[in-house]
Amino acid sequence: MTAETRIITRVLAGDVDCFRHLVERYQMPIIGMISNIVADTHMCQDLAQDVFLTAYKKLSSFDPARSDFSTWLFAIARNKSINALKKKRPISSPEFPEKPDLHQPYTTLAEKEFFVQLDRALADLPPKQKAAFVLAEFENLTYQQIAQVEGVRIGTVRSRISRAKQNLRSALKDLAGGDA
Amino acid sequence: MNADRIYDAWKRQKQTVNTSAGFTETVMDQVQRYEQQKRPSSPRVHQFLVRIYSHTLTKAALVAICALLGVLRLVVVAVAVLN
Repeated sequence: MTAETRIITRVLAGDVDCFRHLVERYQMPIIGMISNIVADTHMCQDLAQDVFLTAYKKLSSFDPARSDFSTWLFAIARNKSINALKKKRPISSPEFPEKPDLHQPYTTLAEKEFFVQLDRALADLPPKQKAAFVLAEFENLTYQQIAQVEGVRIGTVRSRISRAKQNLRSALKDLAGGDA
Repeated sequence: MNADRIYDAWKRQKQTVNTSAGFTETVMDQVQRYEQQKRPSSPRVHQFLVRIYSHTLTKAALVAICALLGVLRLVVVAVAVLN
């Protein structure tokens, strides 16, 4: 029995405060993942809280034989992020600065421009492509884990990530004038 | 400017996470609130149950009463069948 499974067993037996350990352990990756998918810092904190509350409510349905706790938690976070994106999309655009800060030195300024462009390209990705890309590149999950999170085959994950990378690469090339 | 270097720098920036100081406490407050909503039983009923569960003699008495009720039911059924 892993330490996590022990914690879950204790929570399910009524030791509510033990759930704190799971929140402390996973808040960083969950908040990171959500913020990279929804690109809205205010919404991100609320969504992350909702992810943990949902996890608590559904904890009895978690089956350690089927997946790791982290994979299960990422699946909840991924679904909530995609739902939030679908609701949010037509109303507002992500929070990116329109222009880079002009007080920065030249190299940093140019780099910032690339970052803004990449952020925009990431925000423009279709939600499922974006979620797969974020899990692979920023959260360092394996394709196998992402397939579990998304409930699809590894081949689908591979193609989503590959298309996302192509989109980002072309955004970088556009800004670099074709020499990137 | 090297595209790979830019991409790696951007990736590092995206991996940096800012969490609010009271995040865990906020989640735990929500969990406690959920638990309170889940248990709508009145404090009197709760106290009564706690009292029963905390005394061995009370528990034994409850078991004895239940057993007696079972035997009585059997007798009633047997009498009804014989008549």
